[in-house]
Amino acid sequence: MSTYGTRWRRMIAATTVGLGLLTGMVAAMGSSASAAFSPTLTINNGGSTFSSTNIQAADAAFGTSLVKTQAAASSGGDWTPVLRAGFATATMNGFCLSRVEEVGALGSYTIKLTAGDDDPATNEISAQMAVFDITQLRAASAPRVNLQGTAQIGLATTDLTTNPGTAPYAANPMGVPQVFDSNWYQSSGNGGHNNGQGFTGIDATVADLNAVYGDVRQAQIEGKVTLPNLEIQLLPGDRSCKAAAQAGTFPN
Amino acid sequence: MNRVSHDLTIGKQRLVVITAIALVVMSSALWPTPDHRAEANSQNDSYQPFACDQPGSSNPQQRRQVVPLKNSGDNGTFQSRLFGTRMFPCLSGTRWTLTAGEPNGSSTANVAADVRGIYTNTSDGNCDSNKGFTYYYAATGNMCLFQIAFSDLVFRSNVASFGAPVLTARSSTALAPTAKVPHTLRIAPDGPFTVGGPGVKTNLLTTGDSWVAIPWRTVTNLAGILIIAAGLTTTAQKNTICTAGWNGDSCRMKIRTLAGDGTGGWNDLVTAILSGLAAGGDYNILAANLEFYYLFTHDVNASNDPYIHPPGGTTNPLNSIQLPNTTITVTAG
Repeated sequence: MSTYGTRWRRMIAATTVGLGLLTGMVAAMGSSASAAFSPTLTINNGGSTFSSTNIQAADAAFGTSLVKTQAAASSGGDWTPVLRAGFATATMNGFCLSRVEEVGALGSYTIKLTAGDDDPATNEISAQMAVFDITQLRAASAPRVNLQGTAQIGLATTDLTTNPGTAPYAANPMGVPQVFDSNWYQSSGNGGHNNGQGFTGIDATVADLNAVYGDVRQAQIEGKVTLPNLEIQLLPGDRSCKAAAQAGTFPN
Repeated sequence: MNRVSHDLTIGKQRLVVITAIALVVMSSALWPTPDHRAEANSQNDSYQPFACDQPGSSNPQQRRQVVPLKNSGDNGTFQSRLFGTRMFPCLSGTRWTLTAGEPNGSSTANVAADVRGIYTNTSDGNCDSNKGFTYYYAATGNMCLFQIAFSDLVFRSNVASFGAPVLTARSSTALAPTAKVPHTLRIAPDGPFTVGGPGVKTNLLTTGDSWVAIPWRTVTNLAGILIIAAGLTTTAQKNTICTAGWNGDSCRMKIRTLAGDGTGGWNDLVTAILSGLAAGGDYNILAANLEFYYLFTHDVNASNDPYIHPPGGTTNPLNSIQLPNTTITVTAG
């Protein structure tokens, strides 16, 4: 025989978990994980995924870097390699950021942040001095990953620039230490001035990324950010931005 | 009503006004704009704010390298390493590898890519038969590298069926000091990608042992009468030219050979052939294994400083590198 009515115990448990996750995410958005940056907005929650119909980035740079994982940070931490993507200015056609949490017997829940105007023709989101620490990125449709203008591959990550055309020029905006740091380098050389040796990257006047999604460890936006129609949702199940993008659905 | 009196006639007053306006216009045209950067390309003007330094040196950019641009004309000239338009990179020392096609294939039907306008810079060489040049890394170490330039490199649409191009950079390939956590950056397009294009020149600093596989007919078509006159056997010809090996009609040629190293027994013949191959040649690439430490693109007009004038300008820059359906990963190891 079926039963009807509100299942209060289950609802209270779900609500508690949901509020806990939401609180955690909001707290994470306001925290800083890297002393290299002075963020106005930081999203630092480890295994998140993201997607966007288009990212158009001026003064773009992509360099290998290390980041301390949040889960391990309190115990001394492990350092994980990432591709640090930095942009002086970037516009986006829709943006989705999500994190899936396993909550015991309740199964998985997805915290999802979305922004955009639902117009596939406009890049309505803008950000200045944005940095994303990525472990996997895919650009899935034409015109694909398009590096425009003066493109360079092989620079030390320390030598990448995100605002070469506008004074004051930021030295080493990607934050890899110039001098020997035992967390970053296996050894010291050049009188301790390691200058980013072994960390390499790509620099371009403009980077145009289309139907893009991937895994992001943290994101930091130092400058002004505009996120129209910002929504934060708590959804049951695995509803990650990456899974949706792999199925062909992108925010716009 | 009082009228102000003037010593100047109406005509002279007009002359004074017109002269004043002319002076303002002229001065505004001649006055330097405060934000305008010097066109002269130099290390100080390269707008690289990071100090790529060598402790003990008074030059804070002592380890920053100089790489000249390829000239725009259909010839083998490059900008002067001392005075020309140049790039000033701080090189990571990490070796990048570009592979594509069937490395040991023998078929000339499976064309991976087409390259147009390829040249090698053999001026001012100081290593490897004086065809290469020594470049230093960000902290320690150096390597003899060859500079090749081309107009465009376009991978064929079916390249994925026999060897999609892959770009890989392993931190462990750099000389110490290297990253505490060894890692690999991998850029893998599902299919064809394009480097360069209209209005863009691309330059690479590669190792001498890097190679490209080309159809043997490309060599014989170019060499023509020279090979017949020399009376060489096919095997001898191939061993001399195809310095990275060959399989059937697929000839793998090292970059140092392309640059005119001439290490074979018939240097004059080889040099003659290779000077043709590396002098603006347009040909098929069957496979490639390029190990490089620096790639950069610049405007086809080499007098344009790449730091100020990217190809196409800053507002609507031209496409330099297009990677279709691409997956980029960074993993430990």
